[in-house]
Amino acid sequence: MGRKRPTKLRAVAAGTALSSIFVQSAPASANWSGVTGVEDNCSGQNNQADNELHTFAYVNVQSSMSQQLVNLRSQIDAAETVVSTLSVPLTDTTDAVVYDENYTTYCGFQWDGPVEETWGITQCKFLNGANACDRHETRFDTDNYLAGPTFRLHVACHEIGHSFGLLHRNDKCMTNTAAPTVTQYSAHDKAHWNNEL
Amino acid sequence: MNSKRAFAILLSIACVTSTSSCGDRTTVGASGEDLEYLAERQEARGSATSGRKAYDSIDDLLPNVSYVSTDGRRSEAVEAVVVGRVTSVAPGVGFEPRPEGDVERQPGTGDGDGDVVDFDDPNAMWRTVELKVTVDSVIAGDIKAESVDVGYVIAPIDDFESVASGFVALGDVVLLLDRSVVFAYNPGLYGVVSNGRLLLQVASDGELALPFENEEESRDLMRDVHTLDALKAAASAPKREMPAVS
Repeated sequence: MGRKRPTKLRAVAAGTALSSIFVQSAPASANWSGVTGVEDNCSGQNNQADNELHTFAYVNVQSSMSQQLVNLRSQIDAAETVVSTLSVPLTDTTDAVVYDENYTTYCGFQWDGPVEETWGITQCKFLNGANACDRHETRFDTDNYLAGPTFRLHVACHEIGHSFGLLHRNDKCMTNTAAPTVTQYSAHDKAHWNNEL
Repeated sequence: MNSKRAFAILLSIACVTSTSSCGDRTTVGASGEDLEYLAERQEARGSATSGRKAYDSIDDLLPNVSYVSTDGRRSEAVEAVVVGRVTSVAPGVGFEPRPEGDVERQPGTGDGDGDVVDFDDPNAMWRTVELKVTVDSVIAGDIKAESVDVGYVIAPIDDFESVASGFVALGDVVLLLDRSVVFAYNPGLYGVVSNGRLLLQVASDGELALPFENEEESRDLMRDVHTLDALKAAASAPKREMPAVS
């Protein structure tokens, strides 16, 4: 079996400490994945979205989460270049499929536990001919929604950011250790969308 | 390559090239390059997730710490802590995800989010490998066997031979063993806490490293406990409590 050596990612560990917020350093241009050509399949690889029109389809998304996705898309549309839209049902042009379930072991993670829990995950499912990601899938864990609408918006902001190709960075909601009240993309993140970095 | 990663790889190279400093642990195929590959792949696994954790330090995960949930339930992060070394790695199984909305995947069924398939099944989205770990000493918990079986999750794109070699190249390790539902298909398998990320590698001078964790997080988690002796002392400290994540 030939080894596929993936591009080294600046991965940071999942988790927000309850009692402290970690501060992590990152180079200025660090959180854009670029065109990696990697279809994820639970590998932890990120891949830049294939175009600036980001079409969403929701599968089984609860109303409490879909409302937060509406709020998030408003923020996304405020960026200069990127535009989001909702298509129901799922079509060939859908860029981001959003699922909403009570996950327990998806991708081999223990989603629920007394010392650690996973809130969401985003993966690239299909590549286009230029090795960018034609379609991402984002999964939210409904088990953690009791924390309220701001929490849901925070998780949506983080995971949908991955669906554009953003990696973790110590800035606003792409910080993987941010407080779950952070619900805004940074100017840096938006600059990546607008191809300014 | 960060300094922590360099430390882990240099340690493994020392172990595979000299049996005098690391004991009789040389295994054919174990290499620092494979350990680097393994560490990159394990570190990357969580890079597209978000979540929360209840602990601040590696010693918060020892069995003398109880986590108390908002409804008063108490539980420990791990069942046992052992010092040992990986002697062999075998393919486990693959998991094909169930469709969203499938009632079989709901909590309480014990089935989780995937159906077990063959390790090499092309539809597997995540796979397990099963480590045989020789136990040299037990820091905490009730482990009497000379070896334990430990599960790890890898991605379909991960090369099994390199992963296996990388695990063997780790040399001496401290494993904080839990009973992850991810490995419910085989009740004999332990998991390593935090989805396997917090495996501790032990240098010949007793210094600890977290080869599957990024440098900043490693520094934070081991700011108080960064040697094997310190970890043993923490494990024998009086019991204490912390709030669970929910």
